[in-house]
Amino acid sequence: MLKLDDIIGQNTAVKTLKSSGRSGKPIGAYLFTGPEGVGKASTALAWATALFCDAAVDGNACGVCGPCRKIASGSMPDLYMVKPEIRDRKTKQEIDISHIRNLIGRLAYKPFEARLKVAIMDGADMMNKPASNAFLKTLEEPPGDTVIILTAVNLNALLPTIVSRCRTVRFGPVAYDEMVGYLVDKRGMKMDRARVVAAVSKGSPGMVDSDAIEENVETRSEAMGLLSHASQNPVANVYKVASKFDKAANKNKTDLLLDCLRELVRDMLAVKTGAKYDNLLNMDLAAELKAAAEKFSERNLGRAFDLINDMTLARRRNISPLLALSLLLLELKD
Amino acid sequence: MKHTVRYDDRQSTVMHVDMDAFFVSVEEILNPTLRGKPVIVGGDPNRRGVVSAASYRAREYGVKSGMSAAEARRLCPKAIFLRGSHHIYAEYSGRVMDILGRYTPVVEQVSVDEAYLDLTGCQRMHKADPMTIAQRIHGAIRNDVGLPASIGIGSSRLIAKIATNTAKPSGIMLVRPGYEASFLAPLPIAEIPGIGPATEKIYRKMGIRFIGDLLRFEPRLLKQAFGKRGGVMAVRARGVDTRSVGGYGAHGGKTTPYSHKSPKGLMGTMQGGEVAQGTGRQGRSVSREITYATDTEDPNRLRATLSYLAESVGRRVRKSGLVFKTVSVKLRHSDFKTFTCSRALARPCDDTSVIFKTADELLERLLTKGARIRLVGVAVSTTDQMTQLDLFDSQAKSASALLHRNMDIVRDRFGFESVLMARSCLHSFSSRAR
Amino acid sequence: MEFTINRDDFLKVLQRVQGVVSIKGPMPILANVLIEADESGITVYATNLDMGLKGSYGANVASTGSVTVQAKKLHDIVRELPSSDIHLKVDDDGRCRIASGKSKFNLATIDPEEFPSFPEHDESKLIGLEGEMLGDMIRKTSYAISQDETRLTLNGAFFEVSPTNIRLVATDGHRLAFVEREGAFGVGEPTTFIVARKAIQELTKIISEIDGDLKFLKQDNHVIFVKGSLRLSIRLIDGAYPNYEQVIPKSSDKTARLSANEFSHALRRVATLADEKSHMIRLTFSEKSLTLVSEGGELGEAKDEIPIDFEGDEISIGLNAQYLLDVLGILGGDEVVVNMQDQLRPVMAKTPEDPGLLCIIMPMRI
Repeated sequence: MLKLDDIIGQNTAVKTLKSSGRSGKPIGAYLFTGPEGVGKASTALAWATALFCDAAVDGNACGVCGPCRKIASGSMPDLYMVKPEIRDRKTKQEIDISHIRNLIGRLAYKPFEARLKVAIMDGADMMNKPASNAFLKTLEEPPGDTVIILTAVNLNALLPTIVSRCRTVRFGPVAYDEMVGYLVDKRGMKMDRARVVAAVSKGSPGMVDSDAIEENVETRSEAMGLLSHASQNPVANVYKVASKFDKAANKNKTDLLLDCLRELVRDMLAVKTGAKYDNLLNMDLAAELKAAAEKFSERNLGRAFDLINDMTLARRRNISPLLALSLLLLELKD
Repeated sequence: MKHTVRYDDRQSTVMHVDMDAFFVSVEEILNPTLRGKPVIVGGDPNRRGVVSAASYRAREYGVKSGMSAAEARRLCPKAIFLRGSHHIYAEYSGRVMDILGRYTPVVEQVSVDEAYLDLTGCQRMHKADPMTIAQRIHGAIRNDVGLPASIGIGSSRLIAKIATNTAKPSGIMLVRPGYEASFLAPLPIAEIPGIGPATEKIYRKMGIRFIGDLLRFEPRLLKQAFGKRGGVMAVRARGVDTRSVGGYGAHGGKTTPYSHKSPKGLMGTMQGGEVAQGTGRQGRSVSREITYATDTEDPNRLRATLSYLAESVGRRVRKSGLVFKTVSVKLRHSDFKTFTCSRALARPCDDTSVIFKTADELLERLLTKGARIRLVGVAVSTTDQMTQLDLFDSQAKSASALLHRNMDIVRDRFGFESVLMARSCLHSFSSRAR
Repeated sequence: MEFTINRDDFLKVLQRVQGVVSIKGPMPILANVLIEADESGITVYATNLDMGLKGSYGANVASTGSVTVQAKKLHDIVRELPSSDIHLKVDDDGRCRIASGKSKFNLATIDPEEFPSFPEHDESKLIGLEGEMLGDMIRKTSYAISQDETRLTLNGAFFEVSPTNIRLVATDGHRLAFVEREGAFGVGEPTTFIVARKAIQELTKIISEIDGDLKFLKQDNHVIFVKGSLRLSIRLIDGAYPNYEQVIPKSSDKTARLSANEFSHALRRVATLADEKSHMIRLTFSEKSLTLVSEGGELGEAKDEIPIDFEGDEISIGLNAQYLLDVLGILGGDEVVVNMQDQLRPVMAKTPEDPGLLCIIMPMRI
């Protein structure tokens, strides 16, 4: 049972919602926007629960009353969820007109037992065109006693007329320290692990449980290894190291490696030019980055950074990973 | 009694009358020294605008109506450009239509210089066969008004129209009943109204160049390839066109595209809306577009123009006693790329504010940031299909509908720009300031 | 929980609730039916949240309790059983065991706690209503309920109950049906609500098929109808019903009286050649006669004329023939009275036999 106060690192958003909930029923349409996995849908559900809850305190649902239990078990009749789906013969996940018609039909009724209706559309940016147009009508003449919450990563994929009819609530990446605190306190992680995960998940608690996290941690440490030893490697060794990645890696792995390298080199540059600790992308590696940065000149790092960007572009044209990495490592040698 | 044998009054007979280079011919009456010279009515070649009409002499240089004035000048540097005075054209048009009305009560004016006449059953009255009637009409227009016209006669609108094209300039062409298909067969398919360059291309790909080629295809196949229109074309190729000719009464009064004066002081050229052909339930399109004197990317200016165009189109629709069911917007960028977007309305109406509101939403979709716009157009497709009125709708919208109806009354007396919506004024002023 | 019940009685109950079971919804439990047993017998309750049906039936209850099982499966099982007693028991393992003769079944169940509750209502506040009268009112208005999904408030019938009268209104924007009856209705204050089309159908069925007195109560977001031992809860449509009184013509300077029978026959004749999409015919009312013309159809034209009694200036008006025929079917009686104002304003038809019934049709633009 999630409460609004359990949402980490979205203080502004939570504050906005609490204050709009304070003045009676916060009827209307809301648009939660922000990166993937930062807690938009969780916040929507936590807030909706509080709106239904019989004993909510300052936007926090009690978790034990009838409505709270019903929401937890998925049997709250006045809460409607809409999510993108893959419909038959389509390869794309989307919200189509039938989803919207269904929702509009449901919202036409008065609440079954609660004092209001809540509709959560998670992934509103995946509404297709007919769906958007049909939904626009609902936003123009919203049904009574209804809170509509849309979540969207890509604001540009929404009709501007939809955006302008909603109250926008912004979500950002969760700050590093807050992530670490959450992982240690709420998820019971050891501090070391928490620091790594917090950095790698880039402020997105939703990513912590995803399968990608392990791969990212691993790739990043490989990238760090490459950089720490780059200056010591004899030229002959460069190809050996690079070819190791070439073999092991599928396409995505190389791209991921490039991403990690870019961020690490960026951080090394930052350390070198005396940036503050909390401006690093990989805060857990501050010490290692500092040590590694010693071995390179600022110019070297700058050129390496440019080269990584070039390689990323070249990868789109299918340059071989071996070539890409070799070029990069050679650059770092000088 | 003996005439009953000679004149077959049961045979459907449609006549199509089309004035030759109408605007230019009128200008020649006003200024006879123009005769035989390349004359172009339309924009100012040093600025903007589109050719509305070109004399046959100018056409020899390749000048066509619809091309930009600048291009026309390039093709024919000696051409004499005239701004055009639409109210004078409208007056001459009226005189021609009056003549046509003497020969049959069923006259359907489809544009300022073009009309269909239904002569079915009129032969005995005139004691003459259709060819003789055509010659009389042709002579009357030349003698009484002083203008050249071309006339086509056939068993249907389609045949009559195509016959006119074949007869031009200043000729009369009659296609005898039963010879429709053989008359059409050798003509290029683009002669069939409704086949534009894009459709023509597709037909060409299928190896169809002449109307006769269409006959080789099963109507079913054409329907598959081109949808409903393909089916219609298959029928048309056989010379069959069941659309009847509507008289003055059919649309609640005759419609003249140039029903009001072109706004004074407007430097951009205004094209009178081309009233698309066709009657009956198909509905017609009423459109109006404006080419800016200089391209603009200012959305406020575009909206102002849109509002102005909406008022103009709305007024024309109401004047014809019609209602519309779709609204479309056309934008042409400075590179001549043209974009259109249209939307069907839930319920047909004749309210200017609905045109503007819909057009404004469509504009929002069409407009890309930083695009420089050369031309804006607003069109509605009307329906004279019987429209079911709505119990609640009529009340909700009555305030704005009433407002525009009252504005119409003011305009009838004092002219179109005597009263404008505030947002349209911006268009009017900004055009004037230039 | 354990009880024994007559198979035929049980089947009837289960058949009745099938209509309100929601099979493919977001809440799987709504595919189930809730059975509760107490000393006096059993109650069976099913709901799709928009409508709920609950009935009490006599049964031989061995032990009290409640259970939910899939409604369709239970119905299918009972239907196939021979006509005799059925024994139903819920075991400690949560399985529902059904036995009849040598046939035995056991069905999965879902915790009854999760089943939505029937809307609470105060038994003593139920208001008596004559079932036959309400059925008649529904019959005379429901034809005009909108099918247009974009105008959701019109997708239902509008009830307006005051202490001294009850009104029922339905409209699809093109036509409107209004019926009013007087009586004593124990409501403190006038109350209004919108009942969805589907619920109206269910209500009609119950009124005609179930014995017993009809009572109703509007409770918060629901209206509850009780007929005999059955209760129907209906979730109300949200939103404001359009101001229907505004479109009922208050005055009319053109009134025609004509034979309903002649009118309807002439309409049918002329409508054969009306435009198939719009069904429009043009009616010209003049001092002595009504001329009906259909034109614009693909195949031809038709014209007919019937004698009428007409007061006012001659008027020509376009109307949907089907709408008129619907109205004539509803009005019944020998004579029909048609009131008009002008070509663009609503036409009202009445019968002298039922002054509480008004049928309004919006003309077509001609």
